Amino acid sequence: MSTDTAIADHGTDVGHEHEGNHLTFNGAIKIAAILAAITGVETATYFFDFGSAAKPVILVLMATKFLVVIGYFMHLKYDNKMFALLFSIGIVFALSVYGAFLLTFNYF
Amino acid sequence: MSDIDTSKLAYGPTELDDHEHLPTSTGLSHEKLTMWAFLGSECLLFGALISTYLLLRNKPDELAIDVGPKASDLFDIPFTSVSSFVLLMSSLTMVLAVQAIQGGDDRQTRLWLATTATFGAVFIAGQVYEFTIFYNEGLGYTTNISSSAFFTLTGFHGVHVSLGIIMLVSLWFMSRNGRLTQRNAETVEIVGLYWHFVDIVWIVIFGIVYLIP
Repeated sequence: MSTDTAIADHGTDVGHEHEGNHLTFNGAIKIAAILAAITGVETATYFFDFGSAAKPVILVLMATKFLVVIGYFMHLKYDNKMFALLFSIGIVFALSVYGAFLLTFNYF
Repeated sequence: MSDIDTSKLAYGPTELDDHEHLPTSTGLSHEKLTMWAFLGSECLLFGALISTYLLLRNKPDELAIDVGPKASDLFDIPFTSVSSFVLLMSSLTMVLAVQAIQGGDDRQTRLWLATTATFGAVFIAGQVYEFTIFYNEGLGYTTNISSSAFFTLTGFHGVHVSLGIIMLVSLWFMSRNGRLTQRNAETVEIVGLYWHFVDIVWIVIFGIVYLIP
């Protein structure tokens, strides 16, 4: 059992908000350190020539930070899946609509 | 057993289980559901602004009043990286504020709320400084279509951060006046969701607008 996340089993009630896990103080600090390190690597792409790998590296790091903040800081990893569903609808809709928008104008 | 006076609940007297399960139709907090739905809709807003900027950022000479430089020509990546780091750390302090109020520690709650608001203010100050530099270098809001898209995107984000700061300061005063206690922990959590969202929008803007060549 991880010492960084306190795990308290609250049972498996349907519709219960917290499914039993939450982020502790030390866990939050570690997550922040990871995010800071990722930001450092992103910034490094400005100072060092990553060549054609720069764009995919930045996109992957950006997506990683996005998911880490959503999952841990916004607690979505531990909360009821209804919250994730609502947010995902917005994300998927935005990516679809604006992806189509950019395709229409030959951005890619 | 819950020691909350159920007669004072908005839903009226009710039997609460050990985990204070809300007697709503979904079993979930509707305030929290609403915030998540709102944040989902905000993805559409920022999606529109980001995609518009992406489309227009390499076209400064179209519909230009005065062509001027491109925003990307003036970026100070090290400075903006520091701003990004500050905003990222504000997400950490927001998590600590939520943990503090859930633990019933009002003093720590106020400390972390104030720290989060301060970090947000430092970020906004950095944005204002950066925009001032851009303006002095000849890139204003109406200089060209690319600059309009850039300032609209980052300006909207800045307004969101500013509104978040106002909410955080309001929570701080509520706590100081004894109106924000462990029972209202969800209020801080919901404001925290908004704040984290503002941070992840900046994560995307920093990557796509500033870093990607």
